[in-house]
Amino acid sequence: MTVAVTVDMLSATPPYEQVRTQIAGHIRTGSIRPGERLPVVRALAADLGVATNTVARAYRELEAGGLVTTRRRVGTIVQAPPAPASPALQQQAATFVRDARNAGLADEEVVDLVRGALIDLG
Amino acid sequence: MGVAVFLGVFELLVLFLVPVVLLAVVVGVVLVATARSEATLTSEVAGARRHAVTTSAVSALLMLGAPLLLVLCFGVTVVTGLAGLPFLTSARVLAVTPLVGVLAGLCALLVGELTWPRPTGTSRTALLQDRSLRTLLQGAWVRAAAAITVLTAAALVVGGLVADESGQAIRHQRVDGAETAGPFPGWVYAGPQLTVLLLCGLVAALTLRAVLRRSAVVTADADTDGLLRRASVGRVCRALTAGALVTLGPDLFLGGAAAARAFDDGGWHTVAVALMATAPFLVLAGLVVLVLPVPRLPAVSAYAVPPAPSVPMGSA
Repeated sequence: MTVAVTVDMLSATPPYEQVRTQIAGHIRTGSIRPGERLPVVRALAADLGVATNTVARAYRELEAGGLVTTRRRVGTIVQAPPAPASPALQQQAATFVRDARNAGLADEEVVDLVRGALIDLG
Repeated sequence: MGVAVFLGVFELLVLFLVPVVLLAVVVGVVLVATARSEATLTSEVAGARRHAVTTSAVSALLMLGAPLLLVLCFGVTVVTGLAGLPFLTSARVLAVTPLVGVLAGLCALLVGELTWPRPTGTSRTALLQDRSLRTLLQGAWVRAAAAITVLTAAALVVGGLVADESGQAIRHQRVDGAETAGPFPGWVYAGPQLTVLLLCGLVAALTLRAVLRRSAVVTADADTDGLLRRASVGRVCRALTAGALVTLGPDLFLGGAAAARAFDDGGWHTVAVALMATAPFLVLAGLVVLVLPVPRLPAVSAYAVPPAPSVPMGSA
């Protein structure tokens, strides 16, 4: 597992939500596979330079969403997503993001675009 | 008696230290000549390496300085005959001297790990990699430190158990009477040594926990970060191994010599002589271990350009 998580301390989005969203994204795109172990809360918090509670809350939210499970002495293990996206859908998402970036959009704007489409489609 | 012991220890130190200092100079020259250039490292990795080197240097100074200070105090109090400092005039001071130095060095390493550079800046990236104590505690340094520390602790306990009631001699009951010989590393010496060895083990464990929990170096890839952690583990294990060996050697020598006099023939006499003959090599090995290098960044630019972390998902 060599994927990364980035926290922007100046972002309006709370750090725990940034961590949760990125890990959820990695799980849904298959970058992190079911059965893999996430870093312990204290280690990830130290690496990001954030409070332990920030990462703990992100993990709790991921667990509530059914993406990870936490067991004593085992740690936080990635679960298979409840509704995994098909490879074709993942490919389309990757193509869309690439095209949007090529068009000069920032990542935040790409997400806004998706949110807008979701609202438009009801 | 005290002056003779002091001079004897001083002569032994000179005898052993001269070749080790020469070896240290050679190793130091090779390490400096083959060191990875800072120009090939990111500023964060270079800063972390500087922090590690500084910590290691302070630790080495304390490991040498603390024993020298103790021996100096011992010599001064013995020569001047100062009263009121009974412990300083006791041979027990010399018995714990190497381990006191290691304890001081380990404390420096612990402080170094606790003050490891933390991530700063507004945008912080971390690799999602699991770190466990099991993956950290691997390699020859860890195995050697564990084996030699346990062996030394066991030898100290055995010494304490087989000594006579005075705690500093060994007695052999024969048909024609009892033969008592000393000095022998019974509880008088083994007790303080075991106490300081346990303290060293405790500080080493705390340091290893700090190594595991410290933040990863910003911009370092998983291999570089792992290497920096293994180097820290190596420094801890190196200090512990050296301290245990330099304690075990003299104990086996004194214990073997006393036992050889008490058991003047038979199998135990042979065992005692063998232990006595092994002792100088253990001391030498302990001093050599101190100058052996720990894992370090390779001179070739295998990690010259840290791989860019995978693009994080949008965080909105």
